[in-house]
Amino acid sequence: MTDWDAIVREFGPVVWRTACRLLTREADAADCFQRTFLSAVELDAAEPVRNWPAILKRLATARALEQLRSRYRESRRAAEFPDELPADPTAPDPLDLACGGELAHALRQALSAIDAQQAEVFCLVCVEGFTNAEAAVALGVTANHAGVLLHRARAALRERLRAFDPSREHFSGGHS
Amino acid sequence: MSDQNSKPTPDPLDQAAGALREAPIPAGPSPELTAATVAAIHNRLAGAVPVEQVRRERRRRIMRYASFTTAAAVILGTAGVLWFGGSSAAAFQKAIEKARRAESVGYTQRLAVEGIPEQVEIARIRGEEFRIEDGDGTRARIANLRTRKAVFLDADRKLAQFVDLPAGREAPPGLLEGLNKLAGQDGEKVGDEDVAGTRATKFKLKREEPKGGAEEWFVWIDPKTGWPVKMQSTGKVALTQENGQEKMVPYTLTLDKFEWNAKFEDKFFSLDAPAGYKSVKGIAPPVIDLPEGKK
Repeated sequence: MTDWDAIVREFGPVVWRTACRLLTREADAADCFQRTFLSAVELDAAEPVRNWPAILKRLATARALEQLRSRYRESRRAAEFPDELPADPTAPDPLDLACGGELAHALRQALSAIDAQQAEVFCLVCVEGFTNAEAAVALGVTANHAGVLLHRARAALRERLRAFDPSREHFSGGHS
Repeated sequence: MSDQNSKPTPDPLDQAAGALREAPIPAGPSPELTAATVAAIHNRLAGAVPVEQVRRERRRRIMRYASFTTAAAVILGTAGVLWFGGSSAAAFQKAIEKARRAESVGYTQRLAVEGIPEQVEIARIRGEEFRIEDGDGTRARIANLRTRKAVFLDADRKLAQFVDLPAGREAPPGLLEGLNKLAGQDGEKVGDEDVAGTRATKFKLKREEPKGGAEEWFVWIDPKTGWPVKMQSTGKVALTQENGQEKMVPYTLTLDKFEWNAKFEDKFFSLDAPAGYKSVKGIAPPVIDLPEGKK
Protein backbone atom coordinates (compact mmCIF):
# COMPACT_ATOMS: atom_id res chain seq x y z
CA MET A 1 0.00 0.00 0.00
CA THR A 2 1.31 3.45 -0.92
CA ASP A 3 2.61 5.51 2.00
CA TRP A 4 1.10 8.86 0.99
CA ASP A 5 2.32 10.69 4.08
CA ALA A 6 5.90 9.84 3.15
CA ILE A 7 5.40 10.63 -0.54
CA VAL A 8 3.89 14.05 0.14
CA ARG A 9 6.67 14.91 2.57
CA GLU A 10 9.50 13.60 0.37
CA PHE A 11 8.33 14.90 -2.99
CA GLY A 12 6.25 17.88 -1.85
CA PRO A 13 9.11 20.32 -2.48
CA VAL A 14 9.50 19.06 -6.06
CA VAL A 15 5.81 19.60 -6.74
CA TRP A 16 5.88 22.98 -5.01
CA ARG A 17 8.77 24.22 -7.17
CA THR A 18 7.08 23.11 -10.38
CA ALA A 19 3.80 24.74 -9.35
CA CYS A 20 5.42 28.00 -8.25
CA ARG A 21 7.52 28.37 -11.38
CA LEU A 22 4.46 28.31 -13.58
CA LEU A 23 1.87 29.91 -11.35
CA THR A 24 3.87 32.44 -9.23
CA ARG A 25 0.95 33.07 -6.87
CA GLU A 26 1.29 31.05 -3.68
CA ALA A 27 -2.45 30.48 -3.34
CA ASP A 28 -2.61 29.06 -6.87
CA ALA A 29 0.48 26.98 -6.22
CA ALA A 30 -1.14 25.54 -3.08
CA ASP A 31 -4.22 24.63 -5.09
CA CYS A 32 -2.03 23.03 -7.77
CA PHE A 33 -0.08 21.18 -5.07
CA GLN A 34 -3.22 19.52 -3.72
CA ARG A 35 -4.65 18.75 -7.14
CA THR A 36 -1.36 17.18 -8.19
CA PHE A 37 -1.33 14.73 -5.31
CA LEU A 38 -5.02 13.93 -5.72
CA SER A 39 -4.33 13.18 -9.39
CA ALA A 40 -1.46 10.97 -8.26
CA VAL A 41 -3.82 9.02 -6.01
CA GLU A 42 -6.03 8.21 -8.98
CA LEU A 43 -3.05 7.34 -11.15
CA ASP A 44 -1.62 5.06 -8.48
CA ALA A 45 -4.98 3.31 -8.14
CA ALA A 46 -4.94 2.50 -11.86
CA GLU A 47 -1.34 1.23 -11.98
CA PRO A 48 1.58 1.26 -9.54
CA VAL A 49 3.87 4.26 -9.98
CA ARG A 50 7.57 3.42 -10.45
CA ASN A 51 9.14 6.86 -10.75
CA TRP A 52 7.46 9.23 -8.31
CA PRO A 53 9.51 12.38 -8.98
CA ALA A 54 8.94 12.15 -12.74
CA ILE A 55 5.24 11.40 -12.43
CA LEU A 56 4.67 14.12 -9.88
CA LYS A 57 6.54 16.70 -11.96
CA ARG A 58 4.46 15.72 -14.95
CA LEU A 59 1.19 15.91 -13.00
CA ALA A 60 2.16 19.21 -11.38
CA THR A 61 3.03 20.62 -14.81
CA ALA A 62 -0.29 19.49 -16.26
CA ARG A 63 -2.32 20.86 -13.35
CA ALA A 64 -0.40 24.15 -13.35
CA LEU A 65 -0.93 24.58 -17.09
CA GLU A 66 -4.65 23.96 -16.62
CA GLN A 67 -4.71 26.70 -14.01
CA LEU A 68 -2.68 29.02 -16.24
CA ARG A 69 -5.14 28.53 -19.09
CA SER A 70 -8.02 29.23 -16.74
CA ARG A 71 -6.25 32.27 -15.27
CA TYR A 72 -5.46 33.92 -18.58
CA ARG A 73 -8.90 33.12 -19.91
CA GLU A 74 -10.34 34.85 -16.87
CA SER A 75 -7.89 37.74 -17.08
CA ARG A 76 -8.78 38.30 -20.71
CA ARG A 77 -12.40 38.50 -19.68
CA ALA A 78 -11.72 40.79 -16.76
CA ALA A 79 -8.96 42.80 -18.45
CA GLU A 80 -6.73 42.18 -15.46
CA PHE A 81 -3.07 41.32 -15.36
CA PRO A 82 -1.75 38.41 -13.32
CA ASP A 83 0.32 39.16 -10.24
CA GLU A 84 4.04 38.49 -10.34
CA LEU A 85 6.40 37.71 -7.54
CA PRO A 86 8.43 40.72 -6.45
CA ALA A 87 11.87 40.95 -7.98
CA ASP A 88 14.61 39.03 -6.19
CA PRO A 89 16.79 41.67 -4.45
CA THR A 90 19.78 39.34 -4.54
CA ALA A 91 19.81 39.25 -8.34
CA PRO A 92 23.00 40.81 -9.74
CA ASP A 93 21.40 42.99 -12.37
CA PRO A 94 17.96 44.46 -11.77
CA LEU A 95 17.58 45.23 -15.48
CA ASP A 96 18.31 41.65 -16.48
CA LEU A 97 15.98 40.46 -13.80
CA ALA A 98 13.22 42.74 -15.03
CA CYS A 99 13.74 41.49 -18.59
CA GLY A 100 13.76 37.92 -17.33
CA GLY A 101 10.57 38.49 -15.38
CA GLU A 102 8.91 39.96 -18.41
CA LEU A 103 10.07 37.06 -20.56
CA ALA A 104 8.93 34.51 -18.00
CA HIS A 105 5.56 36.22 -17.80
CA ALA A 106 5.26 36.23 -21.58
CA LEU A 107 6.22 32.55 -21.71
CA ARG A 108 3.61 31.63 -19.08
CA GLN A 109 1.00 33.44 -21.12
CA ALA A 110 2.17 31.77 -24.33
CA LEU A 111 2.12 28.32 -22.68
CA SER A 112 -1.48 28.90 -21.68
CA ALA A 113 -2.39 29.61 -25.30
CA ILE A 114 -0.77 26.73 -27.20
CA ASP A 115 -1.82 23.08 -27.46
CA ALA A 116 -1.94 21.51 -23.99
CA GLN A 117 0.24 18.49 -24.78
CA GLN A 118 2.81 20.59 -26.60
CA ALA A 119 2.97 22.95 -23.62
CA GLU A 120 3.43 20.01 -21.28
CA VAL A 121 6.32 18.55 -23.29
CA PHE A 122 8.01 21.94 -23.46
CA CYS A 123 7.76 22.44 -19.71
CA LEU A 124 9.04 18.98 -18.93
CA VAL A 125 12.02 19.19 -21.29
CA CYS A 126 12.96 22.87 -21.26
CA VAL A 127 12.02 23.83 -17.71
CA GLU A 128 12.08 20.63 -15.66
CA GLY A 129 15.11 19.17 -17.43
CA PHE A 130 13.63 15.92 -18.72
CA THR A 131 15.22 14.30 -21.77
CA ASN A 132 12.88 13.73 -24.72
CA ALA A 133 12.81 10.03 -23.83
CA GLU A 134 11.93 10.74 -20.19
CA ALA A 135 9.19 13.13 -21.24
CA ALA A 136 7.86 10.51 -23.65
CA VAL A 137 7.66 7.92 -20.85
CA ALA A 138 5.98 10.39 -18.48
CA LEU A 139 3.38 11.29 -21.10
CA GLY A 140 2.90 7.76 -22.41
CA VAL A 141 3.91 8.60 -25.98
CA THR A 142 6.78 7.46 -28.19
CA ALA A 143 10.06 9.34 -28.13
CA ASN A 144 9.50 10.37 -31.75
CA HIS A 145 6.09 11.75 -30.89
CA ALA A 146 7.54 13.65 -27.95
CA GLY A 147 10.16 15.11 -30.27
CA VAL A 148 7.51 16.24 -32.73
CA LEU A 149 5.44 17.77 -29.94
CA LEU A 150 8.45 19.63 -28.62
CA HIS A 151 9.35 20.93 -32.09
CA ARG A 152 5.80 22.20 -32.60
CA ALA A 153 5.73 23.70 -29.11
CA ARG A 154 8.92 25.64 -29.73
CA ALA A 155 7.61 26.93 -33.05
CA ALA A 156 4.31 28.00 -31.53
CA LEU A 157 5.98 29.64 -28.54
CA ARG A 158 8.55 31.46 -30.70
CA GLU A 159 5.71 32.86 -32.73
CA ARG A 160 4.14 34.22 -29.55
CA LEU A 161 7.45 35.60 -28.25
CA ARG A 162 8.35 37.40 -31.47
CA ALA A 163 8.14 40.75 -29.71
CA PHE A 164 11.21 39.73 -27.69
CA ASP A 165 13.30 38.66 -30.69
CA PRO A 166 16.25 41.10 -30.94
CA SER A 167 17.21 39.96 -34.44
CA ARG A 168 13.76 40.85 -35.70
CA GLU A 169 13.95 44.22 -34.01
CA HIS A 170 17.45 44.85 -35.48
CA PHE A 171 16.28 43.91 -38.96
CA SER A 172 13.20 46.06 -38.94
CA GLY A 173 14.85 48.95 -37.13
CA GLY A 174 18.26 49.04 -38.77
CA HIS A 175 17.69 48.08 -42.37
CA SER A 176 14.26 49.25 -43.27
CA MET B 1 33.48 41.33 -38.54
CA SER B 2 32.50 43.48 -35.61
CA ASP B 3 32.38 42.17 -32.09
CA GLN B 4 28.64 42.69 -32.12
CA ASN B 5 28.23 40.58 -35.25
CA SER B 6 30.34 37.73 -33.88
CA LYS B 7 27.99 37.15 -30.94
CA PRO B 8 25.23 34.64 -31.55
CA THR B 9 21.76 36.11 -31.36
CA PRO B 10 20.17 35.05 -28.09
CA ASP B 11 17.07 32.95 -28.55
CA PRO B 12 14.24 34.67 -26.66
CA LEU B 13 12.53 31.34 -26.15
CA ASP B 14 15.58 29.83 -24.47
CA GLN B 15 15.99 33.01 -22.46
CA ALA B 16 12.36 32.82 -21.38
CA ALA B 17 12.69 29.17 -20.39
CA GLY B 18 15.81 30.07 -18.43
CA ALA B 19 13.96 32.90 -16.69
CA LEU B 20 11.22 30.45 -15.77
CA ARG B 21 13.74 27.94 -14.40
CA GLU B 22 15.42 30.63 -12.33
CA ALA B 23 12.25 32.35 -11.15
CA PRO B 24 12.34 32.94 -7.39
CA ILE B 25 10.43 30.25 -5.56
CA PRO B 26 8.76 31.09 -2.24
CA ALA B 27 9.62 28.77 0.63
CA GLY B 28 7.29 25.84 0.83
CA PRO B 29 5.24 23.82 0.92
CA SER B 30 4.13 24.90 4.36
CA PRO B 31 3.52 22.23 7.01
CA GLU B 32 -0.16 23.26 6.93
CA LEU B 33 -0.39 22.66 3.18
CA THR B 34 1.38 19.33 3.52
CA ALA B 35 -0.95 18.24 6.33
CA ALA B 36 -4.04 19.41 4.46
CA THR B 37 -2.91 17.54 1.35
CA VAL B 38 -2.32 14.32 3.27
CA ALA B 39 -5.77 14.74 4.83
CA ALA B 40 -7.31 15.32 1.40
CA ILE B 41 -5.63 12.17 0.08
CA HIS B 42 -6.97 10.09 2.96
CA ASN B 43 -10.41 11.56 2.35
CA ARG B 44 -10.13 10.54 -1.28
CA LEU B 45 -8.94 7.07 -0.35
CA ALA B 46 -11.87 6.62 2.02
CA GLY B 47 -14.09 6.05 -1.01
CA ALA B 48 -14.21 2.81 -2.94
CA VAL B 49 -14.58 4.10 -6.49
CA PRO B 50 -12.12 6.84 -7.54
CA VAL B 51 -14.34 8.33 -10.22
CA GLU B 52 -17.23 8.56 -7.81
CA GLN B 53 -14.89 10.16 -5.30
CA VAL B 54 -13.99 12.83 -7.82
CA ARG B 55 -17.66 13.49 -8.41
CA ARG B 56 -18.36 13.58 -4.69
CA GLU B 57 -15.53 16.04 -4.20
CA ARG B 58 -16.92 18.30 -6.88
CA ARG B 59 -20.37 17.99 -5.39
CA ARG B 60 -18.99 18.88 -1.98
CA ARG B 61 -17.38 21.99 -3.40
CA ILE B 62 -20.70 23.08 -4.80
CA MET B 63 -22.42 22.27 -1.54
CA ARG B 64 -19.79 24.27 0.26
CA TYR B 65 -20.70 27.16 -1.98
CA ALA B 66 -24.38 26.47 -1.54
CA SER B 67 -23.98 26.22 2.19
CA PHE B 68 -21.77 29.14 3.04
CA THR B 69 -22.79 31.62 0.39
CA THR B 70 -26.32 30.67 -0.41
CA ALA B 71 -27.40 30.24 3.19
CA ALA B 72 -27.63 33.97 3.60
CA ALA B 73 -29.17 34.30 0.17
CA VAL B 74 -31.81 31.85 1.35
CA ILE B 75 -32.75 34.26 4.08
CA LEU B 76 -32.56 37.15 1.66
CA GLY B 77 -34.65 35.34 -0.91
CA THR B 78 -37.14 34.53 1.79
CA ALA B 79 -37.25 38.12 2.82
CA GLY B 80 -38.05 39.10 -0.72
CA VAL B 81 -41.15 37.00 -1.06
CA LEU B 82 -42.76 36.51 2.34
CA TRP B 83 -46.44 37.14 2.13
CA PHE B 84 -48.70 38.40 4.85
CA GLY B 85 -51.72 39.47 2.87
CA GLY B 86 -52.57 42.95 1.67
CA SER B 87 -50.73 44.50 -1.28
CA SER B 88 -47.57 42.91 -2.63
CA ALA B 89 -45.48 45.94 -1.73
CA ALA B 90 -46.77 46.05 1.86
CA ALA B 91 -46.29 42.30 2.26
CA PHE B 92 -42.80 42.56 0.94
CA GLN B 93 -41.81 45.27 3.40
CA LYS B 94 -43.30 43.25 6.25
CA ALA B 95 -41.38 40.25 5.05
CA ILE B 96 -38.13 42.17 5.10
CA GLU B 97 -38.73 43.34 8.62
CA LYS B 98 -39.63 39.86 9.79
CA ALA B 99 -36.56 38.37 8.15
CA ARG B 100 -34.43 41.04 9.79
CA ARG B 101 -35.75 39.93 13.16
CA ALA B 102 -35.14 36.23 12.51
CA GLU B 103 -32.44 35.10 14.89
CA SER B 104 -31.87 31.63 13.53
CA VAL B 105 -33.02 29.12 10.97
CA GLY B 106 -32.57 25.42 10.34
CA TYR B 107 -33.47 23.57 7.16
CA THR B 108 -32.68 20.64 4.91
CA GLN B 109 -31.28 21.30 1.48
CA ARG B 110 -31.03 19.04 -1.52
CA LEU B 111 -28.77 19.97 -4.41
CA ALA B 112 -29.19 18.37 -7.81
CA VAL B 113 -26.55 19.27 -10.38
CA GLU B 114 -26.67 17.94 -13.91
CA GLY B 115 -24.53 14.81 -14.15
CA ILE B 116 -24.04 14.46 -10.40
CA PRO B 117 -26.18 12.50 -7.92
CA GLU B 118 -28.31 14.56 -5.56
CA GLN B 119 -26.80 15.42 -2.19
CA VAL B 120 -28.66 16.20 0.99
CA GLU B 121 -27.38 18.47 3.77
CA ILE B 122 -28.81 19.78 7.00
CA ALA B 123 -28.10 23.43 7.77
CA ARG B 124 -28.36 25.42 10.96
CA ILE B 125 -27.69 29.16 10.97
CA ARG B 126 -27.62 31.38 14.03
CA GLY B 127 -26.48 34.90 13.28
CA GLU B 128 -23.01 34.53 11.83
CA GLU B 129 -22.62 30.95 13.00
CA PHE B 130 -23.19 28.11 10.54
CA ARG B 131 -23.32 24.36 10.85
CA ILE B 132 -23.77 22.33 7.68
CA GLU B 133 -23.92 18.54 7.98
CA ASP B 134 -24.04 15.85 5.34
CA GLY B 135 -27.38 14.07 5.32
CA ASP B 136 -25.76 10.87 6.58
CA GLY B 137 -24.01 12.69 9.42
CA THR B 138 -20.51 11.69 8.37
CA ARG B 139 -19.23 15.20 7.83
CA ALA B 140 -19.93 18.62 9.25
CA ARG B 141 -18.65 22.09 8.49
CA ILE B 142 -18.96 24.61 11.28
CA ALA B 143 -18.02 28.24 10.79
CA ASN B 144 -18.13 31.52 12.59
CA LEU B 145 -18.08 34.28 9.99
CA ARG B 146 -17.42 36.97 12.59
CA THR B 147 -14.20 35.38 13.82
CA ARG B 148 -13.59 33.77 10.40
CA LYS B 149 -12.76 30.48 12.07
CA ALA B 150 -14.10 27.14 10.90
CA VAL B 151 -13.70 23.46 11.56
CA PHE B 152 -14.41 20.56 9.21
CA LEU B 153 -15.36 17.34 11.03
CA ASP B 154 -14.97 13.90 9.49
CA ALA B 155 -16.77 11.34 11.68
CA ASP B 156 -15.46 8.34 9.73
CA ARG B 157 -11.84 9.26 10.35
CA LYS B 158 -12.38 11.11 13.62
CA LEU B 159 -10.60 14.09 12.13
CA ALA B 160 -11.14 17.79 12.90
CA GLN B 161 -9.54 20.13 10.35
CA PHE B 162 -9.29 23.72 11.59
CA VAL B 163 -9.16 26.52 9.08
CA ASP B 164 -9.07 30.30 8.95
CA LEU B 165 -11.56 31.60 6.42
CA PRO B 166 -9.86 34.09 4.11
CA ALA B 167 -11.51 37.49 3.87
CA GLY B 168 -13.83 37.82 0.94
CA ARG B 169 -14.20 34.10 0.33
CA GLU B 170 -17.13 31.96 1.39
CA ALA B 171 -18.66 34.91 3.17
CA PRO B 172 -22.33 35.56 2.57
CA PRO B 173 -23.27 39.12 1.87
CA GLY B 174 -24.36 41.13 4.88
CA LEU B 175 -27.97 40.45 5.63
CA LEU B 176 -28.86 44.10 5.93
CA GLU B 177 -27.11 45.01 2.70
CA GLY B 178 -28.85 42.16 0.90
CA LEU B 179 -32.24 43.11 2.25
CA ASN B 180 -31.72 46.65 1.06
CA LYS B 181 -30.85 45.31 -2.39
CA LEU B 182 -34.05 43.32 -2.51
CA ALA B 183 -36.26 46.24 -1.50
CA GLY B 184 -38.70 47.02 -4.28
CA GLN B 185 -38.87 43.48 -5.71
CA ASP B 186 -42.11 41.56 -5.57
CA GLY B 187 -42.80 37.86 -5.58
CA GLU B 188 -45.39 36.75 -8.08
CA LYS B 189 -48.11 34.52 -6.64
CA VAL B 190 -48.46 31.44 -8.84
CA GLY B 191 -50.89 29.20 -6.87
CA ASP B 192 -51.47 27.07 -3.77
CA GLU B 193 -49.88 23.67 -3.06
CA ASP B 194 -49.64 21.17 -0.23
CA VAL B 195 -46.18 20.94 1.30
CA ALA B 196 -45.76 18.27 4.00
CA GLY B 197 -49.36 18.63 5.10
CA THR B 198 -49.44 22.42 4.96
CA ARG B 199 -51.52 24.24 2.39
CA ALA B 200 -48.97 26.79 1.17
CA THR B 201 -49.04 29.71 -1.21
CA LYS B 202 -46.45 29.45 -3.95
CA PHE B 203 -44.53 32.49 -5.19
CA LYS B 204 -42.04 33.02 -7.96
CA LEU B 205 -39.13 35.48 -7.99
CA LYS B 206 -36.36 35.98 -10.49
CA ARG B 207 -33.04 37.32 -9.20
CA GLU B 208 -30.60 38.72 -11.72
CA GLU B 209 -26.97 37.84 -11.13
CA PRO B 210 -24.47 40.74 -11.03
CA LYS B 211 -22.45 39.41 -14.00
CA GLY B 212 -25.29 38.05 -16.09
CA GLY B 213 -27.53 35.03 -15.77
CA ALA B 214 -30.38 34.67 -13.34
CA GLU B 215 -31.65 32.55 -10.49
CA GLU B 216 -35.30 31.66 -10.40
CA TRP B 217 -36.81 31.09 -6.97
CA PHE B 218 -40.05 29.40 -5.99
CA VAL B 219 -41.13 29.86 -2.41
CA TRP B 220 -44.01 28.15 -0.63
CA ILE B 221 -45.38 30.21 2.28
CA ASP B 222 -47.63 29.06 5.10
CA PRO B 223 -50.24 31.84 5.08
CA LYS B 224 -51.07 31.19 8.73
CA THR B 225 -47.55 31.84 10.04
CA GLY B 226 -45.99 33.89 7.25
CA TRP B 227 -42.92 31.66 7.21
CA PRO B 228 -41.77 29.67 4.16
CA VAL B 229 -42.17 25.90 4.27
CA LYS B 230 -40.24 25.18 1.11
CA MET B 231 -37.95 27.05 -1.28
CA GLN B 232 -36.46 26.03 -4.57
CA SER B 233 -33.99 27.80 -6.83
CA THR B 234 -32.71 26.96 -10.27
CA GLY B 235 -29.79 28.46 -12.12
CA LYS B 236 -26.31 27.58 -13.32
CA VAL B 237 -23.17 26.87 -11.34
CA ALA B 238 -19.51 26.55 -12.38
CA LEU B 239 -18.46 22.92 -12.26
CA THR B 240 -14.85 21.88 -12.72
CA GLN B 241 -14.69 19.06 -15.23
CA GLU B 242 -12.23 16.16 -15.08
CA ASN B 243 -10.00 18.00 -17.57
CA GLY B 244 -9.76 20.92 -15.14
CA GLN B 245 -11.91 23.22 -17.26
CA GLU B 246 -14.94 24.92 -15.80
CA LYS B 247 -18.39 24.49 -17.28
CA MET B 248 -21.62 26.17 -16.29
CA VAL B 249 -24.23 23.49 -15.61
CA PRO B 250 -27.84 23.73 -14.41
CA TYR B 251 -28.69 23.04 -10.80
CA THR B 252 -31.78 22.83 -8.60
CA LEU B 253 -31.48 23.65 -4.92
CA THR B 254 -34.45 22.68 -2.77
CA LEU B 255 -34.82 23.73 0.86
CA ASP B 256 -37.52 22.53 3.22
CA LYS B 257 -38.14 21.33 6.80
CA PHE B 258 -37.58 24.88 7.98
CA GLU B 259 -37.31 25.72 11.67
CA TRP B 260 -37.49 29.49 11.99
CA ASN B 261 -36.14 31.10 15.16
CA ALA B 262 -35.15 27.66 16.43
CA LYS B 263 -33.39 27.54 19.79
CA PHE B 264 -30.26 25.67 18.77
CA GLU B 265 -27.97 24.31 21.45
CA ASP B 266 -24.55 25.97 21.58
CA LYS B 267 -22.88 22.62 20.92
CA PHE B 268 -24.02 22.75 17.30
CA PHE B 269 -21.75 25.75 16.67
CA SER B 270 -18.81 24.72 18.83
CA LEU B 271 -15.48 25.09 17.07
CA ASP B 272 -13.80 22.63 19.44
CA ALA B 273 -12.79 19.18 18.24
CA PRO B 274 -15.16 16.51 19.56
CA ALA B 275 -13.72 14.04 22.05
CA GLY B 276 -11.63 11.40 20.36
CA TYR B 277 -11.01 13.47 17.23
CA LYS B 278 -7.54 14.21 15.92
CA SER B 279 -6.99 17.93 15.30
CA VAL B 280 -5.29 19.11 12.11
CA LYS B 281 -4.58 22.67 11.05
CA GLY B 282 -5.50 23.12 7.41
CA ILE B 283 -5.90 25.71 4.73
CA ALA B 284 -9.24 26.94 3.54
CA PRO B 285 -10.65 26.27 1.19
CA PRO B 286 -8.23 23.75 -0.40
CA VAL B 287 -10.16 23.82 -3.65
CA ILE B 288 -13.39 25.63 -4.24
CA ASP B 289 -15.40 26.59 -7.26
CA LEU B 290 -17.55 29.64 -7.03
CA PRO B 291 -19.95 30.64 -9.77
CA GLU B 292 -19.36 33.76 -11.81
CA GLY B 293 -19.98 36.85 -9.79
CA LYS B 294 -19.44 35.12 -6.46
CA LYS B 295 -15.63 35.20 -6.38
